[in-house]
Amino acid sequence: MAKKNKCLIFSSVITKLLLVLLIITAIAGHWIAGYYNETSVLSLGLDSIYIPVLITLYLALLAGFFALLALNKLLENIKKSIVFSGVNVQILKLISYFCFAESVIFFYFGFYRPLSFMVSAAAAFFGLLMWVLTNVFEKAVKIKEENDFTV
Amino acid sequence: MPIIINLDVMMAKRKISSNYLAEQLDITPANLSILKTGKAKAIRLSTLEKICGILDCQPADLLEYRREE
Repeated sequence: MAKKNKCLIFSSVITKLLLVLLIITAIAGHWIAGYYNETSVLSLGLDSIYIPVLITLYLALLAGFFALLALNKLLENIKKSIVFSGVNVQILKLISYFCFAESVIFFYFGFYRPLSFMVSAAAAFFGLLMWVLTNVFEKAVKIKEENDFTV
Repeated sequence: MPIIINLDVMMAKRKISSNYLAEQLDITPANLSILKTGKAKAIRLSTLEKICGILDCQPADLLEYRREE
């Protein structure tokens, strides 16, 4: 039981750390975009892609921020032993939507940097994984309900 | 739910309280309430057997099918 709690605490800490990292990245966003533009684009004699990088960065940060907030809420529910519930099904659905949103965002950036298409595919894959997990949880909630209401 | 459990009626006939019946069945009063209020989705045959034994009745005295309109 202690091991399970440690795992949960670890997940919670990492989620909160990532949230903080996201906020710091958002604050330093235009410097990051500028640095990337300078070192990876202009220095190679290519056209500036500062604006697309900025748009991609902030949209991805926004989707990521809300996904992490949802994940944090999910972990809080699990800590309270609320696991197979309708609320958690909705949270998992939300996370999958945000993954798909990230996929669309990086797909857009793929037209400037083709490698971004791979990131888009990876994000879509994670979105699909979360969607399937939502289906599993939905079924689990139904089975639990049957169990709870069997006397 | 088309299946109605007439537990209240039988308990009143036998003058048995909810707490006593829950204790005899070894279930919580909350679980018994699920049966009484028609929220139950299933009942184990072992539970039905115990209820019939305590209330001295037949399953047909407790279970009623009412077609949904």
